[in-house]
Amino acid sequence: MQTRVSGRELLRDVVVMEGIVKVYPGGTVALRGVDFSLRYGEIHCLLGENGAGKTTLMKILAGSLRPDLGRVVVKGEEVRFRSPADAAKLGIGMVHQHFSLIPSFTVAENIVLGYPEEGVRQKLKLDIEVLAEEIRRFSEDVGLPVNPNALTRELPAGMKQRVEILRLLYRRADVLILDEPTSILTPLEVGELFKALRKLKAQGKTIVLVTHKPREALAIADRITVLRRGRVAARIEDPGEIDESGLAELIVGERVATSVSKVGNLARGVRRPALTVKDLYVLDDRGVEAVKGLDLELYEGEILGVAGVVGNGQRELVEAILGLRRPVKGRITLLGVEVTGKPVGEVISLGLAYIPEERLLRGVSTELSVAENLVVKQYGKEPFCRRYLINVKLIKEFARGAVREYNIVAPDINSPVKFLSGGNIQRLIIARELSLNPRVVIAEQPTAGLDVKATNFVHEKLIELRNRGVAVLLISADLDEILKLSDRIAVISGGRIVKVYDCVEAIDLRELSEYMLGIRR
Amino acid sequence: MGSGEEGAVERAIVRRYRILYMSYPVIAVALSIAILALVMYLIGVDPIKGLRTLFYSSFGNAYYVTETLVRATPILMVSLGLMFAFSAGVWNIGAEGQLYIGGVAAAVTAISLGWLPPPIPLIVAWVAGGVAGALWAFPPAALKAKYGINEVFTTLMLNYVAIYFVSYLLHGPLMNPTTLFPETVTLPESSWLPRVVPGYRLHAGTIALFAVFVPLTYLVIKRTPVGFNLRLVGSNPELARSCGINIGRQVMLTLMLSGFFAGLSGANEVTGVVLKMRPDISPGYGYMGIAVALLGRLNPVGIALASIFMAGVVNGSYTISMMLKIPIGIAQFTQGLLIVIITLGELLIRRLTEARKAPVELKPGGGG
Ligand SMILES: Nc1ncnc2c1ncn2[C@@H]1O[C@H](COP(=O)(O)OP(=O)(O)O)[C@@H](O)[C@H]1O
Ligand SMILES: [Mg+2]
Repeated sequence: MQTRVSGRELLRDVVVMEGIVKVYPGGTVALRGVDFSLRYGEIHCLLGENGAGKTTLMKILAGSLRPDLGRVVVKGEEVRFRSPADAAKLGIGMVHQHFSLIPSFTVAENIVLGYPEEGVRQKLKLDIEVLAEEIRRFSEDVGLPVNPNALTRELPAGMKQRVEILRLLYRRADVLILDEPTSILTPLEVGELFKALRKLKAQGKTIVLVTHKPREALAIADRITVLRRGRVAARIEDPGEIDESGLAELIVGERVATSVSKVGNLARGVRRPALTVKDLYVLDDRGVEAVKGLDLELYEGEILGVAGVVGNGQRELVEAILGLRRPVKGRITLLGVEVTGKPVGEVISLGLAYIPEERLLRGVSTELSVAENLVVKQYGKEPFCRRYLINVKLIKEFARGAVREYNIVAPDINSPVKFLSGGNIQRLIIARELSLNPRVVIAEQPTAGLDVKATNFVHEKLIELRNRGVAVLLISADLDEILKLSDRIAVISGGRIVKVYDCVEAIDLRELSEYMLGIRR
Repeated sequence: MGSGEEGAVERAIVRRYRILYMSYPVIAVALSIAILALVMYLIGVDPIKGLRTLFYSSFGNAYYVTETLVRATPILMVSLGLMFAFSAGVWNIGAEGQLYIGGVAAAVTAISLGWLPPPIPLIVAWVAGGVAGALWAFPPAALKAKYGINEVFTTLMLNYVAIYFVSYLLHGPLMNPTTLFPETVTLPESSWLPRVVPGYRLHAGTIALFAVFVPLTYLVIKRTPVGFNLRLVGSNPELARSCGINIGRQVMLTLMLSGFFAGLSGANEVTGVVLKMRPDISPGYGYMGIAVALLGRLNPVGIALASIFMAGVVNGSYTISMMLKIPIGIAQFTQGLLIVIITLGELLIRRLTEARKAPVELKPGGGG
């Protein structure tokens, strides 16, 4: 496996990784011998589906994980990073999938945080004004201007990302790793980001862009590496020679087709509303109004996609509908019954199913068994419970059936759910919720973190429900998903539905982005 | 990696996890015995001989066995109640205080109703003991349910309040007027728990506990929605909430239920063993119950076995220190040490077997 790095490569490549193997403590083999290289001054896309090992590989390069086997050569020298600080010394910096900024700090504070060298910070006292001015000048010099005094919490996602990048540049990083930076951005913001990346490239920076979207790779990459299940599936030297579907095939390895298709929309006239929200106001945990005057109508037999940047009141809206959060004002009607402020149990029994965003927090109990998790919403009811006693045999029978029907891969039905993978946990949740024969389903980020196969499964199930006449409220940060599944799209921004598209086909993405970002109302 | 291979790795992890998880009670018992041996060695007793004596004086003949069961009774009673609370993730550390309050309530009731015909004073005394224990658990329960105040602190601190309050009563209004000892008068015979075998202290409470309470609590925790609710709340309150379970009500219910059991445990000692209320009615049954509930894996059958083990160690170490003329403090010290070790060990093993931490070897290569 050890191929020697040649002299020519040394001059050309800023990073060479060879034969990288990484096994997580739980036994997951994330990388199975990966070779990866970066040339000076290129934009390199690392492409692969969820779980392919992209984050793991990049964390190794950035020094926050250590490989079990293999070697890493940076700028001609073999390195063994013990921490991200070691990597930073050689100019390597990473922006992680989740923001690592402190929300209550200003932009300038976040940028200099933890970088106690030179300049203003040598004095004991931090001069905020000097600092802010320095950051303003710095950000303009590199072509990514920011307002240094803005409070980080109040910035849109695209700006937060810019702050993260500036943080790295300020530490003189010349190899920038961005882990799935586009997943939380609107198309408009993605465009801005790509513009910024091209500027950085012109300044001689080397950039790794991690993504699972072929379209993005084709839009910006000089070279592409495709990872699949911990191995390199392809190295593409010239992205001009391949197209989106070619890349998609390389990512998945085989063609996966969605087998269920939407049958035509039910005629407008006979549509019956399943869920109506009128002039709703809901507070968030901090006591701030997160939903302010929201109106929404969901009909039977449709998928209504709620598009919006995370944190615009989606969570509070869902919790209010479920009865988990009491609205301060407004009216929620579910299947003709007013449910505003009603307890959860009552709302569920009307026929409301919920596929929550935080699977481990709200979707399952990891300590309880697969069988138990499958019945957490009905063990107290017939036929599972008769005369105060639970029928364990029946529950096991039911669980075996569900495991078979939904292809849940589990050691056995009695093992705790903590041993299941994310995709299988989601299958379990869907099996449970659908076994309740719901008439309305709320699906919150239902495919976040799932691989292509599991994602397709979830999509098929949602479409099946819709075809059977169930009303589906789909809340997703993934615009592609919304566009693919929805019959209608509602855009949520600032706690309000600012736009409803009744026809998905002719949507102008730029306009949609502007609604999402609150530029247009 | 094919899905078959993935399944195999997962099954291996589960197997390891189960072995680790199931083997700890055995390890804990072995560890306890090792500690007993070590203590004996340190105070100059031959450990082999010492352990043999210990075993003999707890299980060696019919009399010792019944004595061990009598000792196990209050521990088991406390522990079955704690099982409900612990299953729901509610850490009631206040069983000791609840037991004292239950004991004094039962004694007062029995003494004042002694003129009534037999089983009435006994039954009312038990009910009074249980209710008093539950009420003593009410403030922590309400504070936890309403304001989320950590029940560990409140229940623990109320132990001292309870024990000193009872001590005040026994040195004051309830003091035996003839002997002037700090204890109540002997309970009227109409409130005594019937003895089962003449000449032995084995009483109806022990029999009822093992024959009725253990199966009954097993049914409740494993086979009823009530028990399932508790386990759901204990393992993921957020999920429980979105399944429509009222968390506050579950907290109130379990904390007061475990207080009720601890109170019954006090009533049991007063009406079955000591026949009066005394300031030393419990050598720490409330704390032993914690260790026993954990060692028994929150399963009534396991808890019954663990309580017998704990009772054997308690009785054995008392007998040994009398026989070998070792200060009784050593026995108490050893018991305390065991409680700490078993409790910590159980908590540690829970932590170690939490999500995906069981070690698994890596097979080099692997499919593609
Ligand atoms: N901290 C971790 N512990 C155990 N397994 C992990 C951990 N992080 C990632 N994995 C597993 O390693 C594999 C690769 O994950 P990751 O590198 O995050 O993939 P990607 O970024 O391409 O989605 C997945 O199977 C994932 O479940
Ligand atoms: Mg990742």
